[in-house]
Amino acid sequence: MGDGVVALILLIAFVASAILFARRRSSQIDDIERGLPAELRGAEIAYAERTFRSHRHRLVARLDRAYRTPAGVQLVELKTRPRDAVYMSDVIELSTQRIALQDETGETVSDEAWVVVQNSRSGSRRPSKVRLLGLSEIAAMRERYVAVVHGRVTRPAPARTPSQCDHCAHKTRCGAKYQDRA
Amino acid sequence: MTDRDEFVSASELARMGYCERQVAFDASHGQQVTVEQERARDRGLKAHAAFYDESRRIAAASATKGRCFIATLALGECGDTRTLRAFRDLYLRRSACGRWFVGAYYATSPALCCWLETRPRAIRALRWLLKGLARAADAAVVLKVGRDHG
Repeated sequence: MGDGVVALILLIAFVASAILFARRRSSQIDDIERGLPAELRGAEIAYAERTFRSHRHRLVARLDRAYRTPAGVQLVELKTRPRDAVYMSDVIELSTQRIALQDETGETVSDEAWVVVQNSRSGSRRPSKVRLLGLSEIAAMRERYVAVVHGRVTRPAPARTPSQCDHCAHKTRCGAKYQDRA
Repeated sequence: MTDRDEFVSASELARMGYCERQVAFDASHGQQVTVEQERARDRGLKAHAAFYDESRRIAAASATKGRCFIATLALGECGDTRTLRAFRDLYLRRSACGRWFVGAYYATSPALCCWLETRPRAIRALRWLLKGLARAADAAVVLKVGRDHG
């Protein structure tokens, strides 16, 4: 039997086994990759639940998951919320992760990342793409954070809307001190 | 240690985007959480544990794939194999059909590689075919991400 015939038999076997494999596999993969954007499905996971440090910028970040893609490492952050919403705090968190990861590993990290919001009632997940903040913005925010924590900011900014204060443990204290959030 | 040397965590900075006053009060009075926040934290921890488990399963699935690559066998580790991988990530993995093909390739390539290893003529023919495919893939990759993809 010549190489050509064997190659043809192998090709047929390849197609048949591929069909069986794909049917069995697709349901398993769909389950563990639920809520992910199409462009990250099947991509290689670079890091999961790992802590990175930027000694240069004095930042530390633990990331949920990162994928290695042709555009660089892409970060994914999971959030559990009663509604599908992405906040500025998510963008700040991911931007800090980006700086820490880049500084520790030297890898290029994409300036776009994903926030996957898992509905706390239904358990369903939805991805949202976010554009990350730059180094200067995060560095300035770090400086301000340190100033706030050490009491050097006389009037820290309140939450954007009063409804955000509803579940805050400092609500009464805050109302008494600043008189603008009853 | 001065405050310039302190490490600030991503989650601490993120709280600045929510409410600076809460950060200030936590610093002066200690972090306080309501029952509702405690419940939300528990839900979050459970969800993260599940997410991490999924990460490990995806990584394990990736590790069992592609122990043997026909393209690497025929071409070696070179620009063409990198282009084919970029094409896989940019095009094939972004559609159901493409992912099906990638899965099938990884499932069957070890056996094909074993067969090819003792057949230099077949490898030469395959090399010629793969180089043509790599050229086409390179054009598609350049179209998507520009010339500097390599």
